[in-house]
Amino acid sequence: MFRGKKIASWISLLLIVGCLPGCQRKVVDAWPSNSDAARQIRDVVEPGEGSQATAGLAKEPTGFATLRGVVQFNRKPNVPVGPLASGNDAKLCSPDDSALENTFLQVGPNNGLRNVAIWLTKPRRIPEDPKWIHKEYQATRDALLTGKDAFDQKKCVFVSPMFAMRSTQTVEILNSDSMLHNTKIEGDPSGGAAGANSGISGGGKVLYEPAGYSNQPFKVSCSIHGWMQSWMLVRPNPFFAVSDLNGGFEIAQLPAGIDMEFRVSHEGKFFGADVEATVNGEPLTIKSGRLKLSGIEPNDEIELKFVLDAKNYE
Amino acid sequence: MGRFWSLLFLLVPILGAGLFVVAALPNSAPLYDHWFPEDVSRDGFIIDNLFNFILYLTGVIFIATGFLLFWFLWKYDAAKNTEPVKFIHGSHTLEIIWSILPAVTLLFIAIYQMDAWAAAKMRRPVISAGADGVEGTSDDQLKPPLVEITGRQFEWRLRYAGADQKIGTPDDVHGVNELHIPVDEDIVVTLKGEDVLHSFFLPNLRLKQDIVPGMKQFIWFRATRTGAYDIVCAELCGWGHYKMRGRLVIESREDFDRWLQAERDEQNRVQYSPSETDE
Amino acid sequence: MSKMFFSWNQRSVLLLVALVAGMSLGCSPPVVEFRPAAGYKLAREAELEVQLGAKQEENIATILDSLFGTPDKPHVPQVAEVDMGQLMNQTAIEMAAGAVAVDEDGRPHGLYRQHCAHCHGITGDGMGPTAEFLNPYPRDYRMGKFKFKSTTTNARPTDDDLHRLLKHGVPGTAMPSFRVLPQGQKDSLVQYVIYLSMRGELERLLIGELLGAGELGIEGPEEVLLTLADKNTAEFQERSAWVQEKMTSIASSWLQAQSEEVPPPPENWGSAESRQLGRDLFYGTRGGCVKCHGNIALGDGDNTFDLKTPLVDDWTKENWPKKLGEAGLLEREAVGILAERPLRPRNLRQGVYRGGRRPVDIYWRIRYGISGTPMPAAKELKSDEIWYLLDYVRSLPYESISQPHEQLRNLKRERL
Repeated sequence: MFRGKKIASWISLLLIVGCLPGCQRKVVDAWPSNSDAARQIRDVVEPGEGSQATAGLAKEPTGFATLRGVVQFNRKPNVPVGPLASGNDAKLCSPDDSALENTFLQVGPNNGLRNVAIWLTKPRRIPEDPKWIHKEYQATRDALLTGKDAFDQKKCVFVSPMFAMRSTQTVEILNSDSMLHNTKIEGDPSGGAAGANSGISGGGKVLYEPAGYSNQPFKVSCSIHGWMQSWMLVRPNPFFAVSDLNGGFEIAQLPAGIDMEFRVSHEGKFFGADVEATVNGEPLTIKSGRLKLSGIEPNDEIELKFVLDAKNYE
Repeated sequence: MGRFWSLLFLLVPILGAGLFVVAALPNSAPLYDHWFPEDVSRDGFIIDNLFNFILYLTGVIFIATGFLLFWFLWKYDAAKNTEPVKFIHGSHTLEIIWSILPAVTLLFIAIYQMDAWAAAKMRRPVISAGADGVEGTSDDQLKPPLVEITGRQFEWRLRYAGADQKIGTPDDVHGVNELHIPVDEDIVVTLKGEDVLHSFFLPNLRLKQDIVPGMKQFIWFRATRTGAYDIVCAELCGWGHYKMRGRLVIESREDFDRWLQAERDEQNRVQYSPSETDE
Repeated sequence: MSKMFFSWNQRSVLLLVALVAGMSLGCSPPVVEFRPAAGYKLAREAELEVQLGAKQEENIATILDSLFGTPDKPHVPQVAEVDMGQLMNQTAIEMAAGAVAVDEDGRPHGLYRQHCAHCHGITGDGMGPTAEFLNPYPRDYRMGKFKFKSTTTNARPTDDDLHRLLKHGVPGTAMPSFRVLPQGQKDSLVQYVIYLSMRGELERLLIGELLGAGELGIEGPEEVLLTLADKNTAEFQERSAWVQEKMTSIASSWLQAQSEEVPPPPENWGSAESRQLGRDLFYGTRGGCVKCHGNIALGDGDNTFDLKTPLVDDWTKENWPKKLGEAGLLEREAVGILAERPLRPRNLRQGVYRGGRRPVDIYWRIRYGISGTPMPAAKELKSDEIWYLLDYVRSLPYESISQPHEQLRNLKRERL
C-alpha cells in the first residue's frame, strides 16, 4: 500500500489534537468588569442619596479680589500663514487670493498670546448668592450678547477664535460676510452645553442659547468653508477670561478667602508643565492646565504670569 | 454482496413511498400536515395539478425501478448463482420501447403545461379587446399595473399608481414590504430589481418570478380569498436574503381603496402639531 | 469479506480517541459582552495627550455594569428626579436583550440580537459583523445623535420618531422596514435602542471624566472614579452624586424630546409659482443649498471635492481625526473601527428620502437640519419660505433631466 498513509494519519492526528483547544472564541476586547463591585455600586448610586455637589464649599468668601494676568512668549515665535480660501467663495473670501487671517496663533507686539482661556473649575457649583457672585455679574447674568460682544464671522474667518460666555446668557451669531455661512457648534455633553448648526445668510443672525455649560472649550466650525474654526467656552459662573492681543486678561470680583482651582488652555490644549507660571512672583505648578490658588484676601490683586516657550508652538 | 444488501436497496422505495403516505395522514410526525401552503388564487390549482401529476408519475416510476433493482440484485446474487454468465447481443425491441415510452411521456408533460405557461407569461389581462374584438392581438388595451415592486437588498419597495394610473408620477403612493391588493380582480404587477437578482415569490398565489436588475417584468394574478399571507424572496441575494420577507394583504376593494387613500393622505401630510401623536 | 476493516494499531486508536474527544469538547458559545467605546477613547486620548489606565477602564466597565447590566442581564437604571418608567420598563428590555429564545409563555427574547445586532452591534455601536459591507454604515447610538427625527437639531428623537424608523425603514440604506413585526416587539426594540444610547452616552462621559477633561479633577491614570473602599468619604459621595446628575441629564434629554410643530403651508403651495420661489431660494444666498447639494442638485456641490477638509459626519470625524499617522490607523483598525468614508450630500434628483418622503418629514429636515451631519438648520428662513423650498425639492425627481432613461425611450419597443 502507499507509504503516505502512515504520514497522512499522523498529520490528521496532529491537526485534530491541535484543534482541541481551539473553539473558545473571544468576540470582543471588553474591559473587565467586577460584577460584585457593580452590584454594590448600584446599591449606593441608584437611590441618589449622594450629597449635592456643594461639596467643597466648606469655606465662605470673605470679600472680592481681582485676578489679572498676562500670557507671553519668551521670544517672538514664527507665526504660520493663515489658511487659503478654496471653493466657489474663494474670490469672495479673499479677492486678491492672499491667505486668510491666521486664527490659530495670534501673537501681539509684546509677544503676548491671544485667545488663551482661563476659567474657574473648583468650587464646582458656585451658589447664586451675592457673597459669591457680585451684583455687577448679576446684572449681566441673562444678557443677550450682541453688537461687539456677539459671535461674528467676517472675511471667512471667525472674529473671536476663543469666545467665552455664561451658560445663562444668549449670544447672537452674526454673519458679517456677504455669502452664506453655517455655524456648527459642537456643544459639550459633559456639561450640557447644547450643540447647534444653523445656516446664516449674509448679513443675517441667529441666536444661540447654551442651556448648559462646558468643562472646556469646544469647537465651532463652518461646514461650507472647512478651514473656518473657532473655540467656545460656556461656563456656569462668570469667573473666566480670554486673553487679548497683548496676552492680558482679567477676572474682576473673584470671591476671596476660598480655595480655588483654575484651568488654562489655548486652541484646545491645556497648558502643561512646559509653561512657566508665577503668581505674584512665586512659582506656580500647572498640571494638565490646572492651577490652584488659595489664601486670597479681599481686595487683593493677584498677578498671574505665564511664559510660553516659542519652540513648542512652531 | 449478499442478499442482505439487496434488502437495503428494497428499503429505498419502501421508505420513500412511506414518507409520502405518512405525510398524507392527518397530524402525524414529522410533517404535521405540512404540505402545500393555502392556495388563495384562481389559477393556483393548475400549478398544484402539474406538481401532483409529475409527483405521481415519477413516484410510480421510482417505486417500479426501486423494486426492479431489488429484484435483480436478489435474483442474480453471486453467492446463489453458480452457472456461468450468458452473453447476449442486446435486445433491439427493449431499446425501442424504453426510448419511445419516456420520450412520449416527456412530450406529454411539455404539452400539458403549455397552457399554464401561456396563461402566466403571455395572456396579460386586458381592459378591452381592441377594435378587432379579439384578445391577444396588438390593439388590445392592456390593463395597467396596479403596483410596481422593486426588489432591493433586503426589502420590497412598492409604488402604487396614483389617480393618473401611471407609475412614476408625483402622485404615486410609496410603501415597503406590505403589499395590499383587492380580491377577485385581475391584478398586474411590475417587477424591477435595483441591485442584484431577487425572486418575487407569493407562495399562496403559486406565483414566482425571478427579478433581474435592468429588466422590467410583468406578472398577473387573481386572488380569491381575503387574508394576510407571505411575500418571500426566492433567489439568494446576500446575507439578508432570509429577512426579505413581506406581507401580502388581500382585502375587499373598499378596504383596499380606503387603505390606499389613508397611505396617500399620510404621505402628503403637511401639518403637524405637538399635541397629536403619530402612528 | 472475513477480513476486518482495520487493524487496531496504536495510531488508529489515538486518532479515534482524539476525534471523539474533540467532538465532545465542542465549541463553547462566545461570551457576549459590551464592546467599550474604543474609538471615542482613542480620539480623546489623542486630543488630551493623556492615556486611560487599566484600572480606570475596569472602573468604567464596573460602573456601567452596575447601572445598565450586561447584554444578557440588562437593568433599567434608576435615575434621581426622573421617572424611567416613561422611557423603558424591565419586561420590554428583557424581551429585547439576551439570547434569542422563546420562553414558556410564548414570549420571545433576544429580539435585538435577532433583528438588529448583526448591523448595529451588541453595544449599539454600528459595528456589527455585517456593518463593514454597508454603505452608509449603521447608526452608532452611543452619541445620542440620530439623523432623522422631528425634534430640534441636537435634541433626542421621540418614541414616535424611532417607531417611524422601524416601520418604514430608511429608504436608500440597508435599514429594513419592520412593519410586519408585532407592535409589542417593536416597542421593546425602541426601548432597548434608547437603553443602549443612554449607556453609550454615560460611557463617553465617564471616559472624558477619567481622562481629566471633566469637572471632578481626576488626575492621572491611576485614579478611578468610584472605589467601594472609600464608600463613606465625602469625595465618594460627591462623585456618586455626579454620576446621578449625569444620568439625570441624559434621561431628561430623552424624556424632553418633543416633535416640533410644522405650520401649514401657504395658500399657493403646490403651484408652479411656489416651485419657482423655492428654486430662487435653493440657488440664492438665503437658502444656499447649492453650496453642498450642487448646481443641479446632484449632491456634487463645491466642497464635496475639497480633499483638505472633506465633508464627514460626526461619527467619522470622531473616529478619524485629522493628521492620523500609520500607528493611529492601525490602532483604530485593531479595535474594529470601520473604514473612513466621506459624506456625500444627498442627490436630490433620485427621489430617495431617507428620513421619510412626507412633506412634514422634509420640512423637519430643512428646518432643523440633520443632527450629526453638516446639514444645517434653516433657522433664518420663515416657514413659508421653507415650504416653497420643499416644493421645489420635491419636484426635482420628476424634472426631465432627472429621468434620462425616460427621454431615451424607444416607444415602439416599450413594454407598457
